[in-house]
Amino acid sequence: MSPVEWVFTVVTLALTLYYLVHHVIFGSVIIGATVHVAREQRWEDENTQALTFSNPLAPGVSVIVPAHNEEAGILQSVQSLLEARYPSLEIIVVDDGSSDATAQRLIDTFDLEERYVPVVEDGVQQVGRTIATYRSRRHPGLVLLRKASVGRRSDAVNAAFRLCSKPLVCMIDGDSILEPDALLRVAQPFVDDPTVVAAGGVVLPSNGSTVERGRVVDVKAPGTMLERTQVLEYMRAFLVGRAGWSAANGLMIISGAFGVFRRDVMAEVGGLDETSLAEDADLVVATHRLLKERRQDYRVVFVAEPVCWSETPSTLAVISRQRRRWSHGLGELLGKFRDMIGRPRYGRLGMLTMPYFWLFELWGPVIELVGFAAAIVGIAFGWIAPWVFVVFVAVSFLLSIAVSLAALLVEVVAFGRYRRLSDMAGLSLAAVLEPFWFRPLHLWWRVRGLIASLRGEKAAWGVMTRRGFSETP
Amino acid sequence: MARVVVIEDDPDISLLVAHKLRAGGHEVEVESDGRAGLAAVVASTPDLVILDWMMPRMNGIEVCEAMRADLALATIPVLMLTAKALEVDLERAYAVGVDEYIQKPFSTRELMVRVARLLHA
Amino acid sequence: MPDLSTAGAESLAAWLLLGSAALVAVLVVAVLVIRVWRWGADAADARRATWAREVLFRVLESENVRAPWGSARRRALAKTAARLSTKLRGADRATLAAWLTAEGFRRHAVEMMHSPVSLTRARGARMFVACLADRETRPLLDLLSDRDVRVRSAAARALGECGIDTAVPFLVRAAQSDATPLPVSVAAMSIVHTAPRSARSLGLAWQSDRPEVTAMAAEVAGFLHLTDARVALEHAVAHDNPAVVDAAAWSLARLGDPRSATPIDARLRRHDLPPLVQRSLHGAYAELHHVRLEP
Repeated sequence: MSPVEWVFTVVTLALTLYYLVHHVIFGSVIIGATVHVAREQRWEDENTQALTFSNPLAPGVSVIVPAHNEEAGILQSVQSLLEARYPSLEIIVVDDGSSDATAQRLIDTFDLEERYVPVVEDGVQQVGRTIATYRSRRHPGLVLLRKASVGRRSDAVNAAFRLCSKPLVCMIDGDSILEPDALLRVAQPFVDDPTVVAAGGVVLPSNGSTVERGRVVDVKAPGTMLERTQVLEYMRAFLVGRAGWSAANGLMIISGAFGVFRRDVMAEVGGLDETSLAEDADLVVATHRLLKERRQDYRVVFVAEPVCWSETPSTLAVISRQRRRWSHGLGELLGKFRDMIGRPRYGRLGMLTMPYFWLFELWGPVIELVGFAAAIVGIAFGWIAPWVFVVFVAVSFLLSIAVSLAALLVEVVAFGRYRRLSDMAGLSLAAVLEPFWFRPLHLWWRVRGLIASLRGEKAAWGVMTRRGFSETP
Repeated sequence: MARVVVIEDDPDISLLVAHKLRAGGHEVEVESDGRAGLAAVVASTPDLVILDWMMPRMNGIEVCEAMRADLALATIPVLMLTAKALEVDLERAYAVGVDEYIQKPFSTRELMVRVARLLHA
Repeated sequence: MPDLSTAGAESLAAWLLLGSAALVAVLVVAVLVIRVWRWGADAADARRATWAREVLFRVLESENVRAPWGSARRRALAKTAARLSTKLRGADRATLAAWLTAEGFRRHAVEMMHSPVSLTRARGARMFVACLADRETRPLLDLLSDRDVRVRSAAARALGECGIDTAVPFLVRAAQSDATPLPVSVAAMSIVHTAPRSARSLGLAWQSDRPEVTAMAAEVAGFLHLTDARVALEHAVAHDNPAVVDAAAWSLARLGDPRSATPIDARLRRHDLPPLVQRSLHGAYAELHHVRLEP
């Protein structure tokens, strides 16, 4: 055997092992998620009962809505919060240096007037200067904060956090629409268990669904393949990924698009890291670190039922920037907290979740490319038969299709939000086609994000062009 | 014998109320969201409207405001049946022109007494 | 590279390929079939619920109706009754409870409360409350020390539902338990729902070694306007734990007795509270002097 061939054999065996480990871990995550969701669903009627019951004394929630040029969706989003079933709610909208009519629309629609709002948490720093604060004459809990932008969502959230006066803080996006009982459901773990410090819910794309007065009234899968593929991605990420990691108490990410934190813990961590690109995951990991180091008993939970609808990109240009930024952010995050990786002191997060994300999420695309290159070399030199490569690719495609379908199955068995058969058929088709077109593109975006994080680039608010919700008359 | 529109998104409650009203000899129409409810009120100008607060499409407060702004509907009595229990909620409801306010959980006997009073006022 | 062109490797590859293709096919079919099956199941559920509602509405008219035995209909009836019961009060609720008891649902609920399955015990607690027209809450009180925290919470909620204020000391004790604690906020909500008219039943909580229980009692006393809690609350304002101080100050402001301003003032002079609690104490102090601070 020549040395080159020897190296090739080792690389191929390592890659095979890599895929094997990945599938074993992911398979167990899927099983964990299914058990978790199924168990939660069985308690569904009990939970509903608990919700209505918890009404008068449920802990107050401050909702932070950072908005940067969100005039298309902000009114619907605030409307959905004003209509939310929650007894004690404070809504803080941050207009982060928008150049469109975001602030003016809010002022006109909700009857806002300029009023002083005191800073209650000065332990958290704010970079962009506050321009003015407003309160609504009609809705006592509604506050608007206008500030100069420094180009980062995290600074907008921190500025609002300084004003929060309720024990729980919820972060959503400027275009998000909450289901009416979403806040009750996501706050319930804090009621049931005093050791819960953070809870995240499910985010699903609102593209395609009908929104009326801040409420999704007809859930429908979007029309284009790109948007449908994203629906599948969100289902995989939330119903399988997060549910599975949460079942193992190793949840690393709570989506910044819908997460609730205990204010005291968030203040102790110092709010969001203003320099981070993945500020939501950064907050969760920082919280884990703080509490683990203090040896405090705590839980970070994922609740599969409450839903936050959010508009996702509908063009390739926007989604490529978004994915590049996500991957860049993940790289930055794992770099920042690298001392936690592989340390038993940080529990499942340090031993399982973070290594998994490092090896399979962050470096996954590179390893996939290496595998592909190795296969081509192998075939070219006649070291492996072409059919072996074809079988390998086919099996890996089929398994990734199966994962998407498993997520879809969890959704249809446990929740059944998409009622139309045509939606299910369309989403299944998107699942089958995804590996052939979306996966290579995604791979490329992720590689670019990884390179950006290795080079230590700095990035700003992602540009997202919103179409606004389709309003029916 | 009066015509009543019940606008309520919880079928347990709307059907129970409808059942009681029909047993009392009234003619009842049930709608499960605010907008459809308002349309029914506009179409039939009933003698009484029983209204929930938190509903999809249009909430009870808005339905009541819309009725009060319409000359043809302004005098129709409105009974609000809601789980909202704070003092400010009560103030808000009476401010937009609700005539009676009943909190959930409720008693059907109390409801019928108040309905009778509103119909004969 | 090991030689992969053996018959064994080839058949393994074929099996892998076939297996994963079959998995995908099965999943696609499952997604579509379950979607369709759910339409049918939902429609059948809705039909049974409609039927159950009609039966129960007739019960509420005090008509003589019998419940069917051992069938999907009986389960639908139990489920609908438990749900309907939480939406009613007064004579309607009592009528429903009496009928459910007469039809054997209460006996069944007690059996469920002894089931080895947590979920069944919790459901039993809820069914039991729907059947409850008297003050016999013993089975519920027993569940307050259940081994599963969700069952304990369900039992506490059930006690809150039936609004029997003799349960309050038991709820307080359950919240203080070391082995099987009831979440404090669940205890608080249950106590608020039972609506005791006097603070005496909270007795144990004021001296609790767990500050969150004392804070809970303080909050509940203010929420329910229990004027006889004033002295205990004024003591609580001097507590070392800021959460207790905060809750006590808020409640004193709600009770609105001007005498309470003195202990609040004394506590403020110790200057050892976090800014947020300091603020709410100032707020309470101002409120007792009928001054409203800018929110």
